Amino acid sequence: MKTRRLVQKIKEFLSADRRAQIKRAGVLKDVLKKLEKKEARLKEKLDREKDAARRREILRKLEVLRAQRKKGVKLQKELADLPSGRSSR
Amino acid sequence: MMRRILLPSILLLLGYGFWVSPDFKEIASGVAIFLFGMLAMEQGFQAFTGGALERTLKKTTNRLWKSLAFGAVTTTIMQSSSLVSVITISFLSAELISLAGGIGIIFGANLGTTTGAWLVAGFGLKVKLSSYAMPILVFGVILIFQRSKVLHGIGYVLAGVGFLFLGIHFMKEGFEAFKQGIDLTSYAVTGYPGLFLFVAIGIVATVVMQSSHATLVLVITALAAGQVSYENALALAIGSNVGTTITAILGALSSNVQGKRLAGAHLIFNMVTGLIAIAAIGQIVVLVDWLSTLLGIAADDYTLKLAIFHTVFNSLGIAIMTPFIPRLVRGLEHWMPAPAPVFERPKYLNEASLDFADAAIEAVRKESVRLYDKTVEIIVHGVGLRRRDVFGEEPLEDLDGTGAAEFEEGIQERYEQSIKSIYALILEFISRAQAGMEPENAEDMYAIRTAGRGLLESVKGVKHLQKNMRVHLLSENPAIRSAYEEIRQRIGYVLREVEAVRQAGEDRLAILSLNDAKVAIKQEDAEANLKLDDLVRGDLIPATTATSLVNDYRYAYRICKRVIELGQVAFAVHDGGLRDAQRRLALDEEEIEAMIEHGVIR
Repeated sequence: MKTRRLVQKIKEFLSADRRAQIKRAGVLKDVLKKLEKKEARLKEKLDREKDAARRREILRKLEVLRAQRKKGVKLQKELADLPSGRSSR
Repeated sequence: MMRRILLPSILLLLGYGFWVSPDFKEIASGVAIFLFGMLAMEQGFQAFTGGALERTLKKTTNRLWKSLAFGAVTTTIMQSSSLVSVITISFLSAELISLAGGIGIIFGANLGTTTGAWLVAGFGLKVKLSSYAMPILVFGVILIFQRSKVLHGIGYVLAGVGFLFLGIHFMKEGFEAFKQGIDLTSYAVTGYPGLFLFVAIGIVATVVMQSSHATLVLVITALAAGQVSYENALALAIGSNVGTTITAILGALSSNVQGKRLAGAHLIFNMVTGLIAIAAIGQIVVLVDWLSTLLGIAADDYTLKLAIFHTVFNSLGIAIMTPFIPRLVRGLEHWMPAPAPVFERPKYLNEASLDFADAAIEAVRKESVRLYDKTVEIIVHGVGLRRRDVFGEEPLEDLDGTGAAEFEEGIQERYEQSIKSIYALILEFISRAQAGMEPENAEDMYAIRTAGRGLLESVKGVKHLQKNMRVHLLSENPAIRSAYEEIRQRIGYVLREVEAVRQAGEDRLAILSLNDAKVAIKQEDAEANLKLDDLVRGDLIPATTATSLVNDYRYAYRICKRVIELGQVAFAVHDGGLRDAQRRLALDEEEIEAMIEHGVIR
């Protein structure tokens, strides 16, 4: 039993799909981080902005960004929950 | 500089002439009324262009004899070979007739124009034309006020004829009064020097008046009043025949190469005919005398004899030149070759990059950046904006009303030359590169292909949008003006956003950042439509303009959307994984609509 699990682990490690999956998760994490930073920058900008129209524009950008991040987090979870060796595509 | 001085000088000279001589004033006003009559006639015939006239034109010029007859008959009816030649140039430019057919019409028009001399010589100087002119003018003006396009056109034609007659009357009166003053015949020059001098005067007079008809009328009236000798009048007639080509040459300046070829043919024909007439003037005069005796025209009836001379030398020209028409066509096509269409070539698509997926994708991406730049150029100028304003620091709202008069012309041509040709080669490259590509890479190629296709739509949109925008940006109604200004601002905003993403460099999140621009345009489109409802309800804009605006909002939305989509592809990061991640996070149409509907975006 132990040997079988070990073989499975090695198989996963060597599987191209699994590697792609891991890479994808890494890239996604990177993008989400960038989005988080962007959100922080936008929030700062919003605090400084006095013009109503500009504020509205920044708020919209923030909403879109949040929706994108939400989607990203969901995707991240899906990727983590996927059985090894299967792509989320 | 010359142009600036020329007009005031002519006006001053004329003013001085009017002050010095009331007879000169009468002649000049006769010429002016005559030319005005021609303008009115041209305006009248314009009402009949399109549809039936075009069909007739095609049918009547498919054989040489038909086009010759057509030219002769239409010029007889219109009484202006210049008008017929200019219209022929426009038809030729529109490729409705062949060059040989056009040349046939021009040759025929030269014969047709001689009927003018007959009319004036045989009819105009014996009958009091002014008595016909007035009723014709009255009928003409009444018809001009009619709503029907046909009646309106007939009205202008009649008014034109009326003015022509009135003009002839004034010129005649002027010359008759002149007779008591100076005797022009004392300036008559005989022999070949006189011939060349008066040919030159005939050319200059026709160039100035833009009408061989007007020159001929002047010559005939002067001849009838005994102001010029018969010999010199013949030379003037030859000169007027050469000078008349100036209208066609001017008309061809704005036409394509076919029109220029026709003007060339016109000039060649009239020059050759003129040279033949000069060379064989003695023989032609004998022939004219013989014909006059045959027709029972008195030996001293020089006005009718001039009409015969005009007809004889033009007929001679046609008889000599007609067999050479095919050679003339070949010659003109050789001397004035059609410019080869300048199609842009792709810069980055090369055979070598086809072998490697990454290189192929990069080549296509770089080419799509070029495509994007060219499209942006068309869009910016197509909606009357300036590059420096769109990509400058000034808030777009401050650009209100600027550049309204700087709309780009010839969008279709630029599209054909630069965008369509490059896109066609991108497509070809993609289809070759996609064979044997990994699915991930093929997906990138597909995205570029789809975004490029969207350009077709955006350029078309600019073309449609431009029509109304040009007019409405200058509207007196502030609500309409501001609606179109907002459309321009929206387009400017999107272009600015895409440019910002482009400048952001490798760290950019192009796909996700521009996802926000997509939300913005969707939201603004929805708001604009709601505002439009309010404007219509409040009677602030007419319903017809509202309909145009609904369509134009649609065009603007599509232009913006396509620009964003191409921007997302062209300025995406090089890393395939990062690109893929962004695509997965980007909000799709449904998600965007849901956000706006649920008020998440305000």
